[in-house]
Amino acid sequence: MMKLNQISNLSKIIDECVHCGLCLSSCPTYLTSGLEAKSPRGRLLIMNQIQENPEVLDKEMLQHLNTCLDCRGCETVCPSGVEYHLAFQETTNIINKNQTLPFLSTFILSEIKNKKILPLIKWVVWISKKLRILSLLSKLGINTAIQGNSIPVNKIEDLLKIKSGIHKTNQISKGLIGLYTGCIMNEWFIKVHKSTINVLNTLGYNVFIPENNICCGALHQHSGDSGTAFQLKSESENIFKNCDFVVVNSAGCSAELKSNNTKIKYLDIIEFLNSVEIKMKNSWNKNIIWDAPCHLSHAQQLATTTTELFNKLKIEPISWSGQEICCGGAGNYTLIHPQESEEILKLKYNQLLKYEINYLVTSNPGCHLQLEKGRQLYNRNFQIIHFVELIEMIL
Amino acid sequence: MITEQFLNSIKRKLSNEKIRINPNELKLYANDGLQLHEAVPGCVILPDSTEEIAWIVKQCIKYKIPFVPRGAGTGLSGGSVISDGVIIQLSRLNKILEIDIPNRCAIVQPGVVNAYLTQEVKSQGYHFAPDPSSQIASTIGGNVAENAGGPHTLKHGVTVNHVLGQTIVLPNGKITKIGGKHRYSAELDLNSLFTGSEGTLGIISEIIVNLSKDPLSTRTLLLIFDKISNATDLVTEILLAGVIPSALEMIDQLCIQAVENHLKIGFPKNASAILIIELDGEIENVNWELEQIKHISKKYVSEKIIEATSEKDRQNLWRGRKHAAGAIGNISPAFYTNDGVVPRDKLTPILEFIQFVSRKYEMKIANLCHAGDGNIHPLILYNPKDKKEIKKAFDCSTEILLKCIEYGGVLTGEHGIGIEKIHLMEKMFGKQEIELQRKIKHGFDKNNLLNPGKLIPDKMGCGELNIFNKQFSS
Repeated sequence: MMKLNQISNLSKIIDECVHCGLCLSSCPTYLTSGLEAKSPRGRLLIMNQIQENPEVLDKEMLQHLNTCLDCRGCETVCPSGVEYHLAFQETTNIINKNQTLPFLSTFILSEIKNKKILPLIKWVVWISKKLRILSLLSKLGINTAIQGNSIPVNKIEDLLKIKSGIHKTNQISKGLIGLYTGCIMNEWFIKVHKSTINVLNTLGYNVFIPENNICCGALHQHSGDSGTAFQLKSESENIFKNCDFVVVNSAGCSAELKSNNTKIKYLDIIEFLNSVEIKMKNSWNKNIIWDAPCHLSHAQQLATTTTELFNKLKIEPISWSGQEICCGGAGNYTLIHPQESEEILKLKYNQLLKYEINYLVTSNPGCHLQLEKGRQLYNRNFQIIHFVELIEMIL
Repeated sequence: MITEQFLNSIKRKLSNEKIRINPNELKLYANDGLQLHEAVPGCVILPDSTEEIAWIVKQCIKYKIPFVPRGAGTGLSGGSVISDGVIIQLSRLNKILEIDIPNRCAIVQPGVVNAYLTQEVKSQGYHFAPDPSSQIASTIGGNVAENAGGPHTLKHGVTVNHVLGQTIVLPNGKITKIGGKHRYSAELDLNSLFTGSEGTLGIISEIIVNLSKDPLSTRTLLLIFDKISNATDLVTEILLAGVIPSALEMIDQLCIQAVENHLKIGFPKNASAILIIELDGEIENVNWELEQIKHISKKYVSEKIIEATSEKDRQNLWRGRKHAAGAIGNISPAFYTNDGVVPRDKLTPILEFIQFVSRKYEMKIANLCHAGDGNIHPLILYNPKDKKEIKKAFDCSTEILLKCIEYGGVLTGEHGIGIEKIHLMEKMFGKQEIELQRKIKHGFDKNNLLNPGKLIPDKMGCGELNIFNKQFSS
């Protein structure tokens, strides 16, 4: 039997919930299931049951808790300011010490730590994609193949690592920015990194690129392995020590990196771009939808900043209901809970498909892959791009 | 009360996934928004059509099991909880079935979230007028069952003024349709009978609601006071002057501080009270109303009137108001929301009385009011782990409600009677009227299986009906 007396904050956080239920409609799993047990209010009560009596941990209740995406949409609407994610993290840490994680989850987490295997997987995925093996397997309904097939890599040059070191601006430098290249981003979204360097150089900044993959530990943290998450985060302290600050172009990573006390100043690309002057060469006349990553809007509360940035750029994304709801990507959630993930994706696309658009814009790799999966599922022609790729087009 | 035979019968027709019987999961349905009362159901069933609701109801009748409908469970009077019975959870009936702009109406399932409907018709310049503070989560079915109000009901009416028709599963399992897209009718006003019946007369499975055209202009003001009575006296004067704001809301200091602690809206922390006033309509009318308010308020306000200068500003003010009750969670582990109503000219004395009750019981009470409607929301702060405090919170509320009756008011403005205020119903209406209400209930539900023990008291003494005494006296 597990000992739960190590729970310190849990009780305090749970007590702050006044059971008003305002969080229900912000929760993707409640919206798709209609179950109280899959709502934030219900899950807080499950956590409460766990801390009051550990024997309550039956498989079904754990499953309700585990299907939480940790998107933190509930925190944005909670009038009492319940820090749901902290309670969820504490409970997850404790539960996961006492149960074995699914194989796929353990595999992914260890591969992210192992810096040599990830590039290898990248090439395997690429070759399988080129030979249409992935597309064939995904038609057979094999989940990992479906996920792999949503990886948007076509050109070989977008798989080759960017030269490490300093990429200089051709203007008088305003400062040295470290680019948090990450792990998944640094294998499958090199194109986005190239655009980021280009944008930052154009804005007058030198950009430092680390030699190896780095990792913020977000996926480990969400899977209840705070120790590894902390260790991974600490590794980047030295790497960026000469930079004025570090820009992160993955909302999931920037949220995680900011959650720890650190000597490094991390800025999400969105807040950085909103803080500097941007001279546009081209005006924008295409239809876009902005799908804010949860880790940007909810975890970092940067929704207003993003609106300000769009206003500054004189770009008006289509206003649509559903953008504050998670897409179901949520890190490795798609692999661990494929059914729930797909139901949530469909919920998102039910709203999205009402509009004719040229681009769907996001700023997080997990969301990017998930939205691409939806685009393929519904056979749409719009392009999914990162926010910096949009900026690159107008600079 | 749930028997094996009942469950076997249900399982023969519905998939297991729609039937929730895990005891730990059922505990999550022990409350709605009212934390003071707990009742664990014996089973929760999630139908996805009117026909399924009707079939479940018939099974409940066959096996004599009490049942209750539930939406998002944001209600504040314990209306959607039931001990040992069946909860018919309507969250999967969440589709907007039709939007009919030429007839200015929409047909929705009961589980559609209030705010979603407005979002859906916003681009066409329409909205669904009832706007309870819970509108981002509460469902239209629940709004109809409780006849929900909201800040903008002062001018635009409560839910009953926006319901055109309903499909209802009666307590005998038969499906009936009342009203329609038409606006006038010769029949007995059944729409009004069912609206606000708190799920005691039937289960609503489809609703035809009115859509309102967005106003041509809207002005939102923040007025600051150093004395609560200045705010409440001004409310009466504004209405006397012939100005009907679309909303006229008061928030007191304790509430302001809770809001500012967490939401940081920019309300003045030191003010004794603030009023949020919204004016809407034709530009010329609104301008005239604004001038009137500026003129009348001079002798009451302690600072210059602040006006929202953008939609963002306006939304920010409303966010502060609509999240004010929940923000109390930031300063207290639990609170009990009273929902009494007084004639408008009794606002000042009732708020003074609330202060007296607060001192008498040594309990903190924060105040929110739909001041224009005389609808008060004293929020009584208590510690849910302290039985004595729970009792005191309940007693505070009862004293306030009795005072409301004395002033010629009523027990509830919008949260309903549910189980929470049922012990005061006879006091409010007298034996004769309660008997009439009982007859109506019996006419629909002769087995008394649909949401029993809510809204209309059974034939027993008031003392026995006081669920709080029963629950917490041990």
